[in-house]
Amino acid sequence: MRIETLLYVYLFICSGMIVFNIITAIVLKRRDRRTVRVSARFRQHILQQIEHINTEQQVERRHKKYLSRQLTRTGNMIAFDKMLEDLYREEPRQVAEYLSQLGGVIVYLTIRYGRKDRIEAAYFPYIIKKYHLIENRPFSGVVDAMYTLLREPSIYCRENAMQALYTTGDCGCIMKALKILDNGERFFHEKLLADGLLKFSGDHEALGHCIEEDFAGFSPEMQVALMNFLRLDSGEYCAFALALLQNPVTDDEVRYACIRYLGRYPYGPAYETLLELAECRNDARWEYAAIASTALCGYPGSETIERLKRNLYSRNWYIRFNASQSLERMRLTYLDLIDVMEGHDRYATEILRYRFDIRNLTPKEVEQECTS
Amino acid sequence: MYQLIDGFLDAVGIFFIVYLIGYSTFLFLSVVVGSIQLYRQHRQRRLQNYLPNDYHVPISIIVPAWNEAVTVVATVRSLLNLEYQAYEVIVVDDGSGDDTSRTLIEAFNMHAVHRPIRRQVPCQPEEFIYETRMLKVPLTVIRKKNGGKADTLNMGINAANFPYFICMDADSVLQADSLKKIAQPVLEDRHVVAVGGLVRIANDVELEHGRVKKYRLPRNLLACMQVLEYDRSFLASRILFDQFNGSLIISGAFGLFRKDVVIAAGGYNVSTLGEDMELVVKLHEYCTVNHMDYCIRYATDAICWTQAPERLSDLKKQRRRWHLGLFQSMMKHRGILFNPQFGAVSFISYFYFLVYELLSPFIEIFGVATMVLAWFSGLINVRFMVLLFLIYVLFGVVLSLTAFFARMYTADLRVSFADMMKAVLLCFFEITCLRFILAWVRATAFFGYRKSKLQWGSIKRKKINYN
Repeated sequence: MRIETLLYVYLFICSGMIVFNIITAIVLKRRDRRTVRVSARFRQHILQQIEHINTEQQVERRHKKYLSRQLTRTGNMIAFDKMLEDLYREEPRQVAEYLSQLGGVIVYLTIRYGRKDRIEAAYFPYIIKKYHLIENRPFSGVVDAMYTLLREPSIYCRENAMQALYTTGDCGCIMKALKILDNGERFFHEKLLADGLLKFSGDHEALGHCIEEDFAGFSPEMQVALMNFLRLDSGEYCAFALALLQNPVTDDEVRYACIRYLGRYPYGPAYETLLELAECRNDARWEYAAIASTALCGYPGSETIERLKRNLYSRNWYIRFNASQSLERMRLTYLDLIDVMEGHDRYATEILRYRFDIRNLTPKEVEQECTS
Repeated sequence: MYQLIDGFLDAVGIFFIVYLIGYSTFLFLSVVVGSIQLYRQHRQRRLQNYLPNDYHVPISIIVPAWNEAVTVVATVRSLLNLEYQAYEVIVVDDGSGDDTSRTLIEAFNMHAVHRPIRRQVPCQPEEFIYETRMLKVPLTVIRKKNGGKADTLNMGINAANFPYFICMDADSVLQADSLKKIAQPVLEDRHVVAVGGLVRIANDVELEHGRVKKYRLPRNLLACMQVLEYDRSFLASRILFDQFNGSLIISGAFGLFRKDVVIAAGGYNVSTLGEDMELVVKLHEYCTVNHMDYCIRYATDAICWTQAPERLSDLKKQRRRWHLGLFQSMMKHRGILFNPQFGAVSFISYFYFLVYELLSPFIEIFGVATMVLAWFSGLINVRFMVLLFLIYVLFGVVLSLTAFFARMYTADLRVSFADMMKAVLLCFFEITCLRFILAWVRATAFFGYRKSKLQWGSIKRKKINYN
């Protein structure tokens, strides 16, 4: 093939791309106008139905059919979303009542969107979450579809499905979802889970107890995420955290999470264990001493201070760093720490001096407490 | 003799045909893949395919500064307005001759601290450290002995408190949502060790609270041509390479890294000019040799606005530096080339950078010299040569415009009709003139190479329109 022929081919295809870009620009403009038009149409329909609900107590069957037909188109769903967002702000009670009567439509749309490509499939759980369409009403069809999405490779499918499930307020649904995620091979960042579970709209205490009961059945990665959630959620699981910490079979990462938990929620019976862990006897397991040095901040007392002071002389940077931070947060004065400050270990002196500098810089109202 | 020249020209002709087929195929593929990816991402955004904004991976932002007194306060102010919760800002002053540190200390009412620095990667010693905790996030200024940009970044890594760090230039502005966007790949994939952000040219763009208030192409024609060039190269090489974990460059102006992996790999190399590229190539090498599952990603929606040089002398200086950096990085890690252990990084990315980036200015100049020789030998088909050149120009223009428009529409930036026309016209000029000037600059970059080995690149500073 001659070189110029090949270039002509490329030129032709690239010109096609320019035309494609121009057409896309026009389509995007038109699409915006269409969204506004369709939104207005939906608004009219829904306002009529809200009026109907006020007199007849229910949404018309015809309207439900209309919605089922219209909302299978993703573009229409976007227009519906935009319109509903505004209407929800104006008349939240009426709109909530209207949405509560759309159970059948939601189940139907869930199935339809589940069959679309992954980008569109991830969109519908977002709508479910946004308008609390299954809050306290976990329709089995919808919940099952969310479980299916949890097995998808797309992180957005999984995250949006979890977000939708959080709104069910049903502990059973969440536990099942956690099992599915845990059994799947896909990575789901522990932060997404720990922070996401905080959005659960149901009884957090009940969820915590479910987690406690089934904890052993999860993988260590999931256990860490769950322990982090418990730490962010409530201080009621100290005994549970301590039992896990004292169990030699527990994974190291899970035990670190337990130490952090017990650092945030000081628990008398855990003191001896933490004190022991803060002593670094083995360089290979320095993480325990470092994390326990932070946790001990919530357990003031002479023994704690002595242990932390000893840790200031550790060869490990993190142990020294965390011990100094805890001593500072315990509001000890220069005189309390004079033996270190005037001592011969330059590293210990330096890190403490820095802590005192930081204390002076931090405004009183934002001073961190030991349990933060 | 005549036959010898004829034979030589035939050989050169075959070489250039192969070379051009390779280059045009690569450009074509990359623009097609890049455009498809951008439209896909646009669709994802429209259909809420992104992680919610309230998950925050703790990040240390490292701002290396050298004689940046004019811009550094505005840069730090913009960093304090980012829509993110868990981060800190560390400005490292590399022994500036102006008042870079002092300006910051006074502007933010900072206080001296005796902070011990844990040296995990090599760097020059600190002279003083100031901190403040009165702002939205902790701000630290470290003044150290002069040691070059890589050395300055290493000091930042040593001082960073968080597991991820971002390096950026002191004359750049991060878009308000840039941290959220650049952290997303980390939440999506546990193997991510580095993420590159998208660098856009800020000349004449109005930013308000970290968001684009008014977008327009720069009035300065040289800066304007660089917009087209940036769009093409970002869309071309970066997105395509991202598809097979083959990115070899994360711009020094905006990139996120996993600190423990960078430290394990030895941090920034203080003896290279192109420390940003060298680090990424080193990460590939380190992770592959140690059999780590790793991933280097590119976040097209994490945007950093930077100043483009408006004077040809500054641009030449910048490109000279970049080319020397490229040369040093490639030579230092030459073991990657045709090494099956590195897979696509070796056979596609490294090979592309070697042939079409590092050697291209020499090949282009060689091509021009051959044409002159052919002219004097009377062996040139002028009609064919002009036709080929026109096709080359048209092809380049079409690719540049495709990249430009794809970026405009997918980033929801509106450009005026006048700017569109300006882009179309300047595309021709960029392909036919600027490209050859820069090829010459890159080819001659090695003259005086030793002399300027570890100097910072400095261009004339202008404040970015940031409110």
